[in-house]
Amino acid sequence: MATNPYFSQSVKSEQSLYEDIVIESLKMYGSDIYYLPRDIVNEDKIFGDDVPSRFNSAYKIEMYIENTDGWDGENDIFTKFGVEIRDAATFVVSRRRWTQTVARYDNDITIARPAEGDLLYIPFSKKLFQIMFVENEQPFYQLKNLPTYKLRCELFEYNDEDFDTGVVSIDDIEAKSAYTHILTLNDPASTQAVLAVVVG
Amino acid sequence: MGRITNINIVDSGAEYYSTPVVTISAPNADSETAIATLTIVDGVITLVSVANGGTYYTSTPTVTVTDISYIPIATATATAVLEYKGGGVSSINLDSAGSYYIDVSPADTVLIDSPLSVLPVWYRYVSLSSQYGAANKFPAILNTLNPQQSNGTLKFQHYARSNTLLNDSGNFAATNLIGTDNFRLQWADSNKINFDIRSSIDSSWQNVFTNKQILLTQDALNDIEFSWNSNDRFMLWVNNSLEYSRSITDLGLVNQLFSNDGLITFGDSNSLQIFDKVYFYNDVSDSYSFASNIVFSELFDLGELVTATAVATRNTYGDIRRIDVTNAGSGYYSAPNVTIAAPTGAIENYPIYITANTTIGSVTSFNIVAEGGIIDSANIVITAPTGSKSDFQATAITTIDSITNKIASVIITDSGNFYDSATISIGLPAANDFNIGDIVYQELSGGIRMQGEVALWNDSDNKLSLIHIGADDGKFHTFVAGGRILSTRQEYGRTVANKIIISIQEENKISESEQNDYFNELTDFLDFSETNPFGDPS
Repeated sequence: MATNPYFSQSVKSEQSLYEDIVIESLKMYGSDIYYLPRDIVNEDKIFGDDVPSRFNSAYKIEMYIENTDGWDGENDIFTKFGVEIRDAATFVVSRRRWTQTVARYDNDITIARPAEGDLLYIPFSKKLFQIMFVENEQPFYQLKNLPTYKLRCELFEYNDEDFDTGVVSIDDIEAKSAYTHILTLNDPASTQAVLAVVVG
Repeated sequence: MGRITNINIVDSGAEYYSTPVVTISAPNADSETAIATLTIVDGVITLVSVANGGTYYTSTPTVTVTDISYIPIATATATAVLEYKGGGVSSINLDSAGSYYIDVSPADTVLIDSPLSVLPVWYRYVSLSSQYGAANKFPAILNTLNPQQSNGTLKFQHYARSNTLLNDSGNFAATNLIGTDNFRLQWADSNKINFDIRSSIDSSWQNVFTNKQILLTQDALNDIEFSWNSNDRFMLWVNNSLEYSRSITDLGLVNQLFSNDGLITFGDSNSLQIFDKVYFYNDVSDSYSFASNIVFSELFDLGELVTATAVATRNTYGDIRRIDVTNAGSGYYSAPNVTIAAPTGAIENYPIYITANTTIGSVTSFNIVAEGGIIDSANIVITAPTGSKSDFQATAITTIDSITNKIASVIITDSGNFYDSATISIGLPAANDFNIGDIVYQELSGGIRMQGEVALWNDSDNKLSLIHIGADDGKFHTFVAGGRILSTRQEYGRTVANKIIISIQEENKISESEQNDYFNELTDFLDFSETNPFGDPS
């Protein structure tokens, strides 16, 4: 038996109200996070990698961090081979706000949703997280619509990517972490020119 | 006094990567005011010559002419539209523009004669006499006209001396009419006589009567001897029928005296009215008395005599350029004379306009904008210069040899003026610095370019930190000591940094801290650096 056609949960006005309330909640309980779209420069099709990736822009957007007691994942692992930090986190962002802020028409972004491989910068902990998976069906069609993305992220390991976002604290990461050549240069002794004037 | 013609390079210097500042000292002359001389031909300034151009003129000076002495006066003639009653002034032609009409009011400048000045003589004086000879017969017309006293209105007066207005034969006769080339009396019908004047425009006869009045004066009462009562009347007959009858009391007669002269208006406006009886009627005695001193006034109008007015328009230099009639006036039987008043302002306020031309600080020539009028002599006064020697300082720029980084040439962009001598100085080579974010490169042998991004530059120890190193051929290369490294950032078309590499050091910081500076600060607790990979406590 088909559902009763006189009752519908896909009323556009109610869907919009629900989405508005979600956005308002995210603005109240969320944190300001920078979203850094990845610019693929030279993708390695075999290994699925792009070492010279560039991050040329950063968009501040409110996100809710689902972790309440600390980072998820395996946290900090101390082994004989050193310390390995395996922090993870899940971020909730409004679909509409992401489209308005990151994928807006005047941004040079071609993707229609958050992409795996893009980065999130957390200003208060000064850490970069990489999106490993985008869950786009939670909450599950409560009003026959999907208002949010859930971004499952892990701590980003810098590997000589190029950061030119214009946000100083983000761009400083490459200056501190990139492979660096330090050149010692000469200090040439300049000589001032001498001129003579002829008056006619 | 002169301009800088050339700058010679004595020493080209070294390590010039950007254009240095060139400073030339200011000229050293004192300021002078320009002086001009005049050439006057037939009373007109024909040439202004530069005797001394002066110095430091940063703006065009003002030139004034003083001590002029002759003032020409403008002249004009009027044109009038003429009618039989006198027309108005239609236009005024300017014959001579004159000069120096600066301080006078244009409205007061043009003076036009009144219509009286151009009235024909026959309008001003007309004298008619009776054609019927005997006393007490109509009409006994006698008058002298003076339009100046009656504002242009001609007034005819005639006196009725008897109770009959018939002629000796008892008939009116057209042959008895009088006339001249310019006016006439003509019977209109049995009891009227027309008075016409001839139009000066088309010679047509025009009837000009406007009013008729009878003036009852005390003299008229003296001619009658009876007592008055309220029913007594003044009566006029035409062809034995009563034409006019009015109570004596209504005419102002009180106690056998007129309190005021009684004035009776009668008849139509076209003709002399012919009365055959003029009586005072006594109601008590039922008798009629004739008064001989009743004055019959016949009025006709030549039109109002109004003097025309006009206004003159002058240009900036005081020449009258046009005269416009503001009131055409009326009563003009020919075009009046027009005179234009002489200028009244102070003679030194009638300027001859001369402008000066300046080139690089000196007056080089003059333009005579307005010659003015006839002059006997004049002096030229030129305002003093407002600039200083620093306004005429020369400027120059340099070009740099991109290979040797020395000054290749000096180009004079402004040669200045008033120089006797000058000194020139040139700035030190500009700072040779890198900025964070600059892309720098080194040309290797084979045309391969190594480049990287500046992460840090310390100009105190000349250490340049580069990241994202790579070669443009996609292969592994490194920077080479002894070669030159340049910045791709340019100013004024030249790279801003250009230095020699002395040594190269590589530093791998990737995964050094895993973005966790917290453990870097705990070196006294655990050491996971490359020298202690297992974190043995120190």
